[in-house]
Amino acid sequence: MKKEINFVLNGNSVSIEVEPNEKLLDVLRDKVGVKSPKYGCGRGECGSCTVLLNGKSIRSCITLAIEVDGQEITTLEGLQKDGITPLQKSFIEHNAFQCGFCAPGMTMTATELLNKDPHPDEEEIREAIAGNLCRCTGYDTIVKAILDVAEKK
Amino acid sequence: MSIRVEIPNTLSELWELLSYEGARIIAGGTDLMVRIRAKVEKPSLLVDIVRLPEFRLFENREDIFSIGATLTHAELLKKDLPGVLHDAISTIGSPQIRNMGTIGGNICNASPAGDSILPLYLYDANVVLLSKNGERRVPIGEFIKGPGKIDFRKGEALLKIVFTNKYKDYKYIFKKIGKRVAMTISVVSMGLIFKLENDIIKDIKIAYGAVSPTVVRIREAEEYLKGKPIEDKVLEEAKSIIQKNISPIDDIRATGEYRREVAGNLIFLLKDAYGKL
Amino acid sequence: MEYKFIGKEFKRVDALSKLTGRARFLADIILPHMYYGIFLRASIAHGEILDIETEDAKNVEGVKAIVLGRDFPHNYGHLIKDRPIFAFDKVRYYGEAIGGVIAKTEEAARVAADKVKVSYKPLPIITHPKESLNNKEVIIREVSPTPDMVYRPVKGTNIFHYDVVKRGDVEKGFEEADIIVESEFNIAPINHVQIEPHGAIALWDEDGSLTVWSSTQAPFTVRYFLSDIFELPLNKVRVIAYYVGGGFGGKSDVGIEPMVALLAKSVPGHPVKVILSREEVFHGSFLRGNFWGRVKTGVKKDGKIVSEKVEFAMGGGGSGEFGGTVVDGAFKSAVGPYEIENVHAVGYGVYTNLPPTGAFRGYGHPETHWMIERQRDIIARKLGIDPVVLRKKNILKPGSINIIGQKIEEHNGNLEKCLDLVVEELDWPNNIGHIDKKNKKAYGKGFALLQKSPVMPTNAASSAILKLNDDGTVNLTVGTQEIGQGIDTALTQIAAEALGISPEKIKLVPYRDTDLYPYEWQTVASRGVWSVGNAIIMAADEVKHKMRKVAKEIFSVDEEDIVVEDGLVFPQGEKEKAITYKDLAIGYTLPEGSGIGGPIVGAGYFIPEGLVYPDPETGQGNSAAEWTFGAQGVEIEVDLITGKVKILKAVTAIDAGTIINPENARGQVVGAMAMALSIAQREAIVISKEGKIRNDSLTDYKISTIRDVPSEYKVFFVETEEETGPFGARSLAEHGMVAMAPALANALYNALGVEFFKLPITFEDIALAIDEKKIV
Repeated sequence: MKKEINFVLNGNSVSIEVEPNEKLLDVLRDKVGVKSPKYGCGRGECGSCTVLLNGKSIRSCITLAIEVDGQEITTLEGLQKDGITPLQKSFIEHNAFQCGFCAPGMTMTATELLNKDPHPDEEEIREAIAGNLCRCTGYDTIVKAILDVAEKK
Repeated sequence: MSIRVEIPNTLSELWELLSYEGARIIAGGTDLMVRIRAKVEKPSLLVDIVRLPEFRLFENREDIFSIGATLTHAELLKKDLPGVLHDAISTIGSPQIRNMGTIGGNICNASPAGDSILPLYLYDANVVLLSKNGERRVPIGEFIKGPGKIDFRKGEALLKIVFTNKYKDYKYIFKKIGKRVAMTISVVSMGLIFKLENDIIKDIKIAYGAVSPTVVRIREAEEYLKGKPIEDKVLEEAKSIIQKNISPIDDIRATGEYRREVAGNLIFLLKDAYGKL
Repeated sequence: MEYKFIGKEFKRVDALSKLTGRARFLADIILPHMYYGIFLRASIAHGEILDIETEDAKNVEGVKAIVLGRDFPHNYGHLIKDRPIFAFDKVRYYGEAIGGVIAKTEEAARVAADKVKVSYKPLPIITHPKESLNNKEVIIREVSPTPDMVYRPVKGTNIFHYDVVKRGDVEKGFEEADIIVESEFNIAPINHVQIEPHGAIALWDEDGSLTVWSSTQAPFTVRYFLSDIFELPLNKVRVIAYYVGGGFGGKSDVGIEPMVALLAKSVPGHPVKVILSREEVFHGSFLRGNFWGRVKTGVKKDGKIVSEKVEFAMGGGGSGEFGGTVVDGAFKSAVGPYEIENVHAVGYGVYTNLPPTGAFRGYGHPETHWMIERQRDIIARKLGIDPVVLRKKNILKPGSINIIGQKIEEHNGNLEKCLDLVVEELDWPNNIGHIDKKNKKAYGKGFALLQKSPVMPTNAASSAILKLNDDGTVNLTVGTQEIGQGIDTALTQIAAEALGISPEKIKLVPYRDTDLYPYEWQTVASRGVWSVGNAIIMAADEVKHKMRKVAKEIFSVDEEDIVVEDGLVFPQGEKEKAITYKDLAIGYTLPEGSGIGGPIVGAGYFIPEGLVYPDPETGQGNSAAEWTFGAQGVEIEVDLITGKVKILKAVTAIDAGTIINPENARGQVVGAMAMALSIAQREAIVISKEGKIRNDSLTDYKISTIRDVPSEYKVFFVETEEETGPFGARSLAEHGMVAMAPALANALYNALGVEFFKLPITFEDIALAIDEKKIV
């Protein structure tokens, strides 16, 4: 039984029909065409599907699409309204990615952190990023990239 | 088979939805969605209660706490909670899981490793269940009957958790041991609240997670430790009492042997805490 | 040597697309008229397939076709031909694919797949390599050697391949030795856990040609296998690959592509897409197989190793095609980076009832180094000499002969210097370990050495094309794949250096397509910079040669008198007359208006010359193209209450020749160290008695989070220029994980006095050892 849902995606209203058991991740990727959130595990463990729901980071792979009816969703595509953000720039500067598959989720989590607290210390950064898995970098440059933005702010 | 999902806006809508066969409450879904995916659970109707304001109230009136079941872990971490509960909740999952998951959801999963559940045993908390017939109040230790088993009756929803913090001047320890540092499931967890007077344990409450079918209070060790100083000989004895009172099993995450060993060792953390007093 | 762009800071060329979400991965591709596939997977670990009932599944709305292994009973392979596309006679591991369902939606395919009923005649299972090696009752796969087979299976056993090294006389060596040390080692099977799951899309055209999109490290190898399996000429098979979301070897062997292609064959004109679920990545991709080994070493009192006998077996899973070459890789490092007069090593690949073994970062080297570098510390302890001293007495240096009979040259690198750097960073031998009873902590330091050569066929080739654009910018195409390692960036720098223009003027065209891009064997073995880099230099030479040919007409001088330098072309000594690449890019226009020359394209290739097959009886022969040496170490803190280990510092010193991009190179080493420590500390595939993988999720197969990795990483590069490498560079990407596990275990001994012989060494293992030894 399909249901129409309305939500704000990256500042634009979206109105779309979804099956009640459809996940937000699949709707965003396959129906809306927003590709930055990635499928990595399907059970909220890896963090590659992280998006912001009303500014809070959530796992879109274990969120039902119909739950975002009337809410606001932000993905990586929505961050760069006026060019790339200092955070994205810092990730580039510090080589805070390799294969790049975890980068969108990682960036969204770091965005939430910096919105909440513009000056986190290293421990707070590690705490915040703990739910985003990266198999390539050893996380070293990711900490540096976020710390750098935090210090410059 | 497709699942039907409903998000009631009023209690009367909720009661109607809960009357259907196969209805199942979802409150955050961080565990339930995973179990549905793994086909461990096959509900035909999911009733999402997170938008009902009745379930989202928080009160701390003269140390009588009342915690709404659908408050998320992240929301609770911003409240003035007893330290042991705050610390326990802060170890749950990842920031995203804490943004989504709720305390009521955690309790109703009834996992022996449920992190927010353990401190509630220390405070002898009660859960309040609501149905169209009214409220029913059950001690947490009776509500949770075994792994994944709760005393839930048809048409009921977990409304809130209530307890009195009679132990405001107590010290506390919460320690969770997993297979890695972050985003982990407890292999063993321990919560203590205790009071010292002249280097002697005046009062102590001890609870363990993931070492028995449910979270357990180790009352024999509590009784033994009362009136004793914190020293190696005493803790050794407490360790063996604890080990005798738990029934850890082997599973995918650890062997029972390891759980028993670490559970016993953790009581030595009292020494650290004592050293810092 | 001084370079303009080599060894300099240069930001990754894939950065912006990856940080804006525009970078394309396989799962992002949606094609018109596309169908979705779900594989049918075995519910037992070993058994004959009796009957498959598909009627109910066919009736599910949206189902287009159901394809079963028995419809195409074919084993493919290049070395042994023992890999079915879908299992058809029997299943050999839990989760092995026996077919697939194609439907209009993934959901419909999934629903239908659940309705397929399969009955089996179950057979006993074997999962441990040592058990498989000695078992003659349970034969997982019958194979007999044939003349055209590259592997060496042993009839009537589960051995599908073996390698032997023989130097000197080990028994005589043991007689001469003052002490003999014998140890036995084990390693659990592990998964790569690339964050991007495997996937592929296949489309058969009505004209019989096949296009496959895949997340692969080896588009040209995929093309080869598809052409071989489906009997198509190579120009009728096209393989397209976008960015790969982590490979680590696990996307270099050909597994999913033939499966998806076979599904799609039943619906010509419709692309069929399959993305593995995370659970399927555990059951249905490749693993690093489990490992068992035994080492016996004879040593003189002064620490000189005189004789070493090594025997090991790698679990190959249900088919050996892609696992046997891992044994080939391991045997070349069976005794580590040491010169030993008498060696006898035998390595076996054996069938097990587990998913097939394939490439995994390090390719057999982390396994052999686990044994050897533990053994070196154990020997040093038995003799009462410092493990640094013991190693220095035996390590390979210029003039040494290695295990396969190669003489080590100066340009192969400086292992001793790497060792010195690491022990200096660890402040060795001060405070190498102690127990702090009061705080219930223990501290330890440990280190280990490493060597690795690219494990590849003797003719593993690369190529590159440089194409000048009208404005003097350059497009570079190569067949090697960007999998996160930063190859596109390093190769851009190499092209810039070779052409004498800035890297910003070069576009390495992202993504790969076998129809459009030049040949590449595979993106594996850390050989990309070395091999493709050489091809680029040759292509640049051709570009310059073509420009000289035109310029000699313009300036009316001999070709050898034309200088091509820093983007300028001019006659020797007359720089003021210089013209630019732009002037020559698509042909030069003479003052009177007529054109000469033409659009300039340079092509280059590389093949490692002089490599030979090892002698089958002794393993001797020039079978390793180049060696990278290094040393690694850790400082750790152990919590005696819980067994938890905190890595305070992780160090690597590596001689990778000239470093092309220091930041990326460091990233490779740091990433590899973190991965190796995650594996060493907690990664293991847990198998039930029935042969089922019990931890097929990231909840229960735990890789390190940001809170589990070392607090501090130190990386040192020793840059001994490699004779055979572009601008002196050699291999780098895998090496950072080769010796971390033994370094950790050596540190654990120094902290606790406990010898660990198996991997992983979990917090649990440590806590139970502390309890057993009554350390607290």
